[in-house]
Amino acid sequence: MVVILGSPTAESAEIYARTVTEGDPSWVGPLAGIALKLPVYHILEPEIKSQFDQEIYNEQVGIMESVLDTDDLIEAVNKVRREQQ
Amino acid sequence: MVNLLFLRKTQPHDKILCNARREEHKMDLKGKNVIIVGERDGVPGPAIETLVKSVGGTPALVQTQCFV
Repeated sequence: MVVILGSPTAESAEIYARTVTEGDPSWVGPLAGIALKLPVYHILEPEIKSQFDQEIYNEQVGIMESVLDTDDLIEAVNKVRREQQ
Repeated sequence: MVNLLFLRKTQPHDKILCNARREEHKMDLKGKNVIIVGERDGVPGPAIETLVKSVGGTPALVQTQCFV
């Protein structure tokens, strides 16, 4: 089981990533205190992007990829994964 | 002037090695169940679903969050 995010900001990506790994960081939802420890990635990460056909990827994600701050998003999700190890 | 270098946190050597090994391992989506959490202002769920299906992954849950 893998989780893939499509969040537009580093902050929201980190909150989602933490929710599915160590539990809801805001402690208000049903996953508060429940560490699912699922591997989580953002759709813009090279590790995930490289698996798709480039033409389909550009068609589905290309526009948002050019608008969003890719480096910040990748770093936010990467940071959560690193902390899980 | 106080030297604060000694306060710098350092990563244990075994953890650094663990991260290196992790980066070498590629996450292959083929044959995996995938939870997709898209967002309206980012990449929507159905767009990610199309991509996941194209490489043989199985979307277990597809959501598109919307904050207005």
